[in-house]
Amino acid sequence: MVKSMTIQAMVVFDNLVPYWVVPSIIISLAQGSIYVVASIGLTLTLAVVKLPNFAHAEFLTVGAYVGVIVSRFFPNNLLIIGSCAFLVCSVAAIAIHHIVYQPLMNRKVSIYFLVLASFAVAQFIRYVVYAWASSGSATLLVANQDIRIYTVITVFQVEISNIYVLAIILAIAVSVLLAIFLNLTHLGKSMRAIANNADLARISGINVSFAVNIMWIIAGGLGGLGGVVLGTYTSVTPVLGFDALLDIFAVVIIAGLTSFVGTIIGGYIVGFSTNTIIEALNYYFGVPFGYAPLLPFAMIVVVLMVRPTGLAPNSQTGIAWLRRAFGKGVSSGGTN
Amino acid sequence: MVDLIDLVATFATFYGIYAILAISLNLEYGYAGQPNFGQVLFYGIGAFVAAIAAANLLPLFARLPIGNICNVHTSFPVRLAIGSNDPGIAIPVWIIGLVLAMIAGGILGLFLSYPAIRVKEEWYLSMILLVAAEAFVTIFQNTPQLACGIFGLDGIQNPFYWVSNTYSNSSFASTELGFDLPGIIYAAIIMAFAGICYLVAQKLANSPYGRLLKSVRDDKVAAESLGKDVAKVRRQIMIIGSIMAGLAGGLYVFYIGVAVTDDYVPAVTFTIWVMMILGGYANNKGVLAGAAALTLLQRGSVEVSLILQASFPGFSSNVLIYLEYVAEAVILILLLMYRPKGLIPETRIETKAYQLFDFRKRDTPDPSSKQETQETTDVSDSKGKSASSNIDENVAR
Amino acid sequence: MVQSEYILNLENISKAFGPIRAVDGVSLSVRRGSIAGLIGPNGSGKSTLFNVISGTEGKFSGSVVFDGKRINGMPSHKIFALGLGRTFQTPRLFTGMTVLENVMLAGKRQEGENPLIAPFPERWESGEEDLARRAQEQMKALEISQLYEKNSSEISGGQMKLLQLANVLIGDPKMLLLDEPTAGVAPRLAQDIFASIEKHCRETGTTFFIIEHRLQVLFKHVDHVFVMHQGRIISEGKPDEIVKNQEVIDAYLGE
Repeated sequence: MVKSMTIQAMVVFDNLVPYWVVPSIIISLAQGSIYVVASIGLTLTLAVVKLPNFAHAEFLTVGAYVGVIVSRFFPNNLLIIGSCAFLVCSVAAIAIHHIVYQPLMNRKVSIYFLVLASFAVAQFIRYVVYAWASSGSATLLVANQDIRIYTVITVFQVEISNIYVLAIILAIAVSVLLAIFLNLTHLGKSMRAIANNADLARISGINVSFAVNIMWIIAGGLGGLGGVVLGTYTSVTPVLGFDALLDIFAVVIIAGLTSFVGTIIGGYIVGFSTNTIIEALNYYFGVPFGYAPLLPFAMIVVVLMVRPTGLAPNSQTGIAWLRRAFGKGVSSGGTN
Repeated sequence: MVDLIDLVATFATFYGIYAILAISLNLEYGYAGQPNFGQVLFYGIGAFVAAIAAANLLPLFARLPIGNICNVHTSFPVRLAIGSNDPGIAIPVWIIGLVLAMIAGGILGLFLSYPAIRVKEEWYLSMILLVAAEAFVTIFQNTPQLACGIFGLDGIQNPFYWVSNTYSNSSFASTELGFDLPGIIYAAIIMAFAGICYLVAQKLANSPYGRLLKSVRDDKVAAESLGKDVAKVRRQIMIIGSIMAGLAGGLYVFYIGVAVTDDYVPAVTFTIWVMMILGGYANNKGVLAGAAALTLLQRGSVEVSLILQASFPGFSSNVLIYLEYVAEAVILILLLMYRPKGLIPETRIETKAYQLFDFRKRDTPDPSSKQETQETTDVSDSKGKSASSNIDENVAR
Repeated sequence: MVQSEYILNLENISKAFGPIRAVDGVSLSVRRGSIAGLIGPNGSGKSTLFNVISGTEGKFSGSVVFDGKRINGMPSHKIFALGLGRTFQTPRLFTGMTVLENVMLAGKRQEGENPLIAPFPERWESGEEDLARRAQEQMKALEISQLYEKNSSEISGGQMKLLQLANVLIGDPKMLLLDEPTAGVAPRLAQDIFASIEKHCRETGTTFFIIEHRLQVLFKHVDHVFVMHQGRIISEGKPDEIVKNQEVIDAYLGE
């Protein structure tokens, strides 16, 4: 009796909901999670050093290639692969900051020159990777990480792979850890103080350069981690990160550039728009899948023109809302 | 020898096109302060519009059915044959293509200047233009109805190809020519267009309009408060720059023969920026020099890797080209750090106004020494007359 | 057209930044051809009022009538074209341009500012020469003509103040709003600047409206003074009346 009802319910569900809906929602969630991990670093960069770092996406590429190399020696060992990617990218991030960005900021150059410099850094990394990947005896221009992909569970006849589960868990873990770090630790609080007013923070005795270094470690490292996860379900190429660049910028722009909570929301907005929404547009209006990138592009343009503070509620109103919702239980949250 | 001639012609072609793009960007950013990080968009739209126009007009003018312009078996050989043999059709189609490319660039520039003027933070504009350029690539790749999608629109012949036929059929062509005569002619024409763009840019820059552009670049609020319609100026310069970039695209597509989105990626925009910063922004001569240096670097790396590939079969021809991109990035970073004004820095706006002052300078022995003496004289009794010298004195304290 | 006695009429101007009312119901009129002063403690809303008048402040309430025309909500370049110029407290110069280019920029009716005419110098060169001549006179009067070739970022702070004055004067404004023309300038120099302002006013009939903290100098040269405090005009009158006004003294001392 119970069993037949379940079957009946499933038949009704199948008739009501087109075949693509459930899988695309799962992919959206997974991809949104990757966007969250990949973008939070850029949000931090924008908040703390006020730099639209167009080289951020290259951390993904570097992280993914680190994954390719390390997974040859430690296949399937996600902990070692992830740690190595994190480490390499955070070192790279600090190096870039001290070699390129900091000297330029010291010279007080215009924001265009900083943007240009970040373009140059991006191009430098991308083509060094290109040259390196194409120079070996076995070309690595299209490579794969040695990570086994298997089905964890099946929901509504949809097989959910370990990578999707991993991406979602990673996004949650990163968000929670970062929230704790920014709100409860001394270093995190000083980072938020720098984000609000760097000069004031400096005067009040905060070690700005130390906090900035830590910020780059987190930003670069999370970019690398995002690259490893992204590289597990697509092939690793030298443009892995570059292809995701504008999606990542869409996430942080939707977030209003500096909001931590907004980045999480923005990640899933972009994740859904490049999967579920384009599937729906294709199913109902015949919009080609190739147009998927146009959705985040449109969001960037519209948000920058109409509401540069972002679509997502900013953290101040977010806190107010949480306070109202949960009484006085929630006392702090958000980056600003 | 023959190789060298072709090599020079190729260099001149690329140089001319890059020079036009760099001059255009220099007008937009160097003079007017509009950070066009989507320059490749205007270049690309020019190329695609010219290619689409050529693919439709060549058969039309020859009174042949147009059909599906993407069909490589029917449409492609037809337009190639017309473009190669009939100057009476090829040249008018080329000219129409260029004009349409310029119009398309200009309209797109006008269109994109609206968000440009609206955004609040300075770098948002760069972001919007970058996004627009990427959206252009996405749309053209995924809409085969426009220009054959990722394969691109092929078969756009050099409008002077007929010259080689004419030559080989003429009485004094006893032997095969050996070098690419149409290519050389076209290179010369591209150089001529670059020269025209340079002259236009120079004339615009050394005029009251140049003053207006620089004032908008330096301080929009102050320019506005001195009676300058800043929004209008920003719109105008986007249109002018985009027309030039569209022209460059049109010229390029008739050279390379195919309009394909791979040629219009952000790396091209980046190269143009490096050219401008290297040469010196707000200096057209400098920008020409910068374009020459970067073109040499790019063509050099292509030629050298071709030679290396011929000599060492195992050599991957792309490595040098990748390293050339790396070199561009390094050059730009070093420039931004150590020589942000470029090789030839910005100069004053040369109009007749200076003659009045320069003439007086020759009368008085040396303005700087005069100024110094003024600064040290006692001015207590020359009220209102020596205001500036007084200020110098007091500020110095 | 009969010219009215007052060139500038402000009626009930208010401008708030969030909860702060920077300008709070200001109404005043400035007599044509006069030199008027606007004084008040720091943060009393003087500069905001100037920004409102010159159209750089965005939305506000009230009405601004200049020379018989309502100029509310007009973009500032149109306001300048009508003959109302202004300077800024910290000089805003065009730092990539020379002193001469800075001065010549604001010249009105420059044909060469049209990009379609600019490439043909013969069409605008005579106008350019006239403008250059006027610029030269102006710069000589302010004693900055020898700096013509210098980049405007390379001159001294006082010279920048003078240059900014020359910038607006070349546009032949009917009325000028000067925001602290002598701030950061030595006292003797403040005298000189005010003397040349008064000379210009008497010779050309240009109206001046000046924010100034140096009251002694200001009072020597102005015809009428408005006192602003906490966004309101608390007093106005001839300089000698203002000096005696208890309310004004309180406003300054109570700071």
